[in-house]
Amino acid sequence: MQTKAFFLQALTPVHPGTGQVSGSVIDLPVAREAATGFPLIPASSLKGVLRDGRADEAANKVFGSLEQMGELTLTDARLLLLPVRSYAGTFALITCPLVLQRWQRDAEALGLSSKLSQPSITGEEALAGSAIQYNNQVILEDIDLKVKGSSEALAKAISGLLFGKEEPDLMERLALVSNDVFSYFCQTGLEVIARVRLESASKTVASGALWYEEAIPAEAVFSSFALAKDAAHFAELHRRPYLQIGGEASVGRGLLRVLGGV
Amino acid sequence: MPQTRNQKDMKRALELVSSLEQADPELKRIYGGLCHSFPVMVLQSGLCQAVAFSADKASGEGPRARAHQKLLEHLGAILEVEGDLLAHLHEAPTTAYMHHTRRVLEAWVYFKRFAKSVLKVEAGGDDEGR
Repeated sequence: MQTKAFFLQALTPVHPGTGQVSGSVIDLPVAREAATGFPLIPASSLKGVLRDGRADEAANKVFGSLEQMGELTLTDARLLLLPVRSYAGTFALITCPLVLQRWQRDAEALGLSSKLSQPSITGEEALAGSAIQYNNQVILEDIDLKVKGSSEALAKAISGLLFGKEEPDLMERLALVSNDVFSYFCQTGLEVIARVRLESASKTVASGALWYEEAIPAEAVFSSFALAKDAAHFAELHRRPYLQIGGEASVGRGLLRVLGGV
Repeated sequence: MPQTRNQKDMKRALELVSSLEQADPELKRIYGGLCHSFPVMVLQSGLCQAVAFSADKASGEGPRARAHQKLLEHLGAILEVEGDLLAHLHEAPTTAYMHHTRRVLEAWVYFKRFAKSVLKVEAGGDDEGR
């Protein structure tokens, strides 16, 4: 079995919906992992979009058919980097030790030799890039974190995985925050979009027709793994320059580009 | 047998929202609208800013001020904070502040539901966020 790690970068906000959920103050929330509450793109959404309705023999072989299982396996795309509004540098791309540890564990389990450095951080501290520091602090929305050190080594490793080279934007913006702070922003740092339905005659909001939708913000990066008997099947991941995943496609949500090649 | 946090939140929210069932219709309508809009404001602006907004509106007279007073009172009940909620939030360490934010978001699911079922106020009323 061949394995490939790949990444998806959101070019516009992404809404991998779950339908209406009664346990949220948001009417249409995004899909989340049960244990961590981190947003994710289900593998089934990813696979459906990569296949894009093809039913020819070649597509059946790679993606499967009623008679036979496909030869390409995809995992859920987990959140790797979350953009969060920053006082300095406009926005930071945050990640946390738990996210890095899980990626490394999974990569090793699937036989990949790629490594991500595993710095630790706890409490109200952060490792940060140069663009997002202000007065030795990283000020993210309403949370202030003390800069404990540079995120350069980690940014270099992640840049290598995503772009195959050092990417200046990521080098300057990356912040490693504690698991608790990451978790907090996964709940409170997503986009909340108000939608309404208008009465066609009066063009006023119909009674009770206001609802709120959640979206993972543009610039977020997700990580996923692909497994296949034949490495040629990985070409399916890069068949198009971008993918549209999740709901609200007609209002521009869910455009992602595929990155990485380890 | 101890109860789950959800059970306790639901019971508390039902008691607090029902306490306004016989209130002045205008107060009820504005408070019900706030039940829908307040958690969204927390998500968009943060707990401190959302509470500061209500504290400002609560300082006047009339049904709108009273609706905001009730909201602040009910927030205090859920967060188990007596006295000045805004001052308490200002002084809370980051970890406690993050915890309070998530507690409010969790509990306000029930305030939204009961605003609709008990007070008969739908989302999208013209008083949301004012």
